[in-house]
Amino acid sequence: MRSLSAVECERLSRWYGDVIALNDLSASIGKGVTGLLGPNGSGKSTFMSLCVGLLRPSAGRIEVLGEDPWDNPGLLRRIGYVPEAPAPWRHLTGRDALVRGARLTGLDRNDAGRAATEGLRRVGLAEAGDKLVGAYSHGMQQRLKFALATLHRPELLILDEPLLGTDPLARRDLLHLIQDMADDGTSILLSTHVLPDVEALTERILLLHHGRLMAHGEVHEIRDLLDQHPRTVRVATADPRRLGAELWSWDEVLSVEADEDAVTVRTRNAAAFYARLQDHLIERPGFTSVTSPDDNVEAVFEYLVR
Amino acid sequence: MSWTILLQDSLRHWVSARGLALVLVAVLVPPALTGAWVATHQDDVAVTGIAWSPHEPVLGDHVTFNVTVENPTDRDLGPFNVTLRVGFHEDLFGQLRFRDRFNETQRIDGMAPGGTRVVAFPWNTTAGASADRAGSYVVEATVDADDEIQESEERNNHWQEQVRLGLPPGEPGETPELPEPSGGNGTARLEASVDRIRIEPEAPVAGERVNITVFVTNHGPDDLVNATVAVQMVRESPSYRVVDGFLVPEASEYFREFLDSRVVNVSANSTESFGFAVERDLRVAPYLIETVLFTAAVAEEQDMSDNREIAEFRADREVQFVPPPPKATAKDFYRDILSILHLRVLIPLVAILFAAGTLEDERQRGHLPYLLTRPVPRWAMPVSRYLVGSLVAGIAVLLGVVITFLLLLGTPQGTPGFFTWPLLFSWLALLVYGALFTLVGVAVQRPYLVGLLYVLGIESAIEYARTILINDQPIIQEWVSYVSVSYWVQTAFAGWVPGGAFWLEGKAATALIVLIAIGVASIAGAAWWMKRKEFESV
Repeated sequence: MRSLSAVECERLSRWYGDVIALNDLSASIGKGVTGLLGPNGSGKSTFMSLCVGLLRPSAGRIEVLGEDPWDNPGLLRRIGYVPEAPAPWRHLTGRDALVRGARLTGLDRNDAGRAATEGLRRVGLAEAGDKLVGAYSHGMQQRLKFALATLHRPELLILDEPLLGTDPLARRDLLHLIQDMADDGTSILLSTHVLPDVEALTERILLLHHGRLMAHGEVHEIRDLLDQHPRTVRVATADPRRLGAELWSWDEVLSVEADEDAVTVRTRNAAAFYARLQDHLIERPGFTSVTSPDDNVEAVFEYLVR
Repeated sequence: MSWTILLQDSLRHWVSARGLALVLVAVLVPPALTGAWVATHQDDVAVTGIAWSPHEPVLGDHVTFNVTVENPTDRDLGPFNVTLRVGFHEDLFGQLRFRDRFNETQRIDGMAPGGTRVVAFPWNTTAGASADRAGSYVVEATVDADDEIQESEERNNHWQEQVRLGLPPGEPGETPELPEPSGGNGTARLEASVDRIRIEPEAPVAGERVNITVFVTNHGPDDLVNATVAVQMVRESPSYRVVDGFLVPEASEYFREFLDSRVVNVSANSTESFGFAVERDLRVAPYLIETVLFTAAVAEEQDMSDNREIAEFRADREVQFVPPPPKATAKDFYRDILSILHLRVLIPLVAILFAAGTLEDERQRGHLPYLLTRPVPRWAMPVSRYLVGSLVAGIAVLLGVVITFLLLLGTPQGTPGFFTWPLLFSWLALLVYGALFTLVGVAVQRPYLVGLLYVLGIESAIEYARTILINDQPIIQEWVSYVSVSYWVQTAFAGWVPGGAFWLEGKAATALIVLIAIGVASIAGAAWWMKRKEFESV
């Protein structure tokens, strides 16, 4: 029987001795793309380990695609999993690694070869297929892991921090890959602690903090929360004092600090501030970058739990 | 198909520096040691017999022992010694000491290939002759006691025989007797006699308890009551004088010792037996047992001449053949290589290296999250690794045994009997240790450390503790050893006798069954544990 939910859990808890990693979690994750958000230590990886059967619940129950994932090799044929760990079989070529992965999934030699070729093409590694995995860059390894997880065309793809450590180009490519899979009808559960990663893919999120479910819903709700709390924006420029003096007069700005090579601004209305800043900086060249150190989920949580 | 990949992965582990080093060590170390030993132990010299004349010597004879020595090899032998000793073992405070009556060594300059030499040793038994010199002796011939020749076989360097030195016929001395039963011409209704004396054992050894049974028959119609049976023991001590180097016997002396007397009753027309015992240690000497039945105090008999009976026996010394302390032979070396190097050290370590890393190696390589989330039965991971490891390491270990055996083919011990069981033992030990460490690899966090602690710590400690004796008892109970696989392997191995029965018996057979049980239980346990194991971090 096909389940309407990709993942369903009821009063799900998991603890390691005295440490509670996941606490009384009840949620129904529908098909499509869902972001699993939370800072480090929030229970995301534990939840994913429960989804792929690496762990058993300490209490409660979990179903993935309508089945209990524990000790269920059959279910693993329907799931693709991209762990946070580096790409495996570094002594093999990318193609051989994919063949191995495909054969472990149950494909015969010929089908595995075809699946490997298709996988390399899909993730843009066709030309690098004969290089050793150990020689791949981080971004290439991430793509290879993605190919490994999708060789058998899974119904559900579980991605544990797939964009961690990737450069902007690799990030863009991976997001495209994930979006393509989603467009093909694959349900995707994506864990991350960076909100914009999820925003690019989906509106549906699950927010975890200290093992508890803090929010389950639309990403704009989180974004609203994010926008309401004061945020820090750091603008690197050749003349911080001058830029600081100019920004201090803006209504959106709460405080300004200038150091040797940058200005750090606190603002309550980030969207308005960013829009005005963009225009301002275009008129005054000389800045090098704009970053927001707390423009992530962790900062939101800090704000929410305060 | 998933299975095939897991087996290939397991096989690939061996195509690494560590795997190849392991294979080379397992294959080459035992043959290298054996080869070095065999190369320096090519010679052999053997004693093949001892003959003597006169064949039944008596005290005073000049006895010549002829020791036959052979060189069974096709190589020239250098000089060596041949030693002949005649004597007996005696127990001194719980330890057997060889007491020499004769001990002589002769030098042999060398021997040609396949040569035979008879070395004569004259023994003048007259020297220091006394009656207690008679009796049985061990004659022991030894070649190359000083290890001047590097031999492949040392156990043929000894030969032992038993020779009995009798007493020459002597001049009888005056035999002291019990009082002669007196009387006669008494009532015709009483007639009794001592029929015979039974001595058990018939040929006692010095120090052995001797039982004497006296059989008394009442021939008359009336019961015999309150008669007395008296027993005395007489030791004969011949004396000699030496004339022109020869022993001339003189009249024997007799030393009488009253043993016991007893009042007896014998029913009319019946025979009764009465037991007596010699309660002290006998010396090596001839003895007489004299028994007299006294009836005079009760009634006089018609004929009292049959009331006295004498029996003889001879107390000899106990001859014990005590083998000389063993020296290393090619066979011993082969056993040691298998028992110590292969079974106690090499195989457990090889097993740790191929089995204990079942999960740990995959974790370190970063493969674990990818393997555990594939639709492969989890138990297949340890089992496939175990199967391939057993096969590859097994071939390496067995190759070591085969090459070692081939190196020994040129020695007298190179028989096929040395081949089959060692192969089986080696492989069985590898399978059992492999299964055990596969279980360890699945169940514990630091499997290599735990494996090494088990082999080098627990098993070695048990092995060592078993050799420490207090009051002839090991300081640990035997059941403590049951936790050691090495104990069972060694017990099974000890039951193997080259050239003996094919099937092991007794404790060895039990050990074999226990080993198989440990192996099966361990690999089944590893599969079960893997199936149930949770992975907090991979």
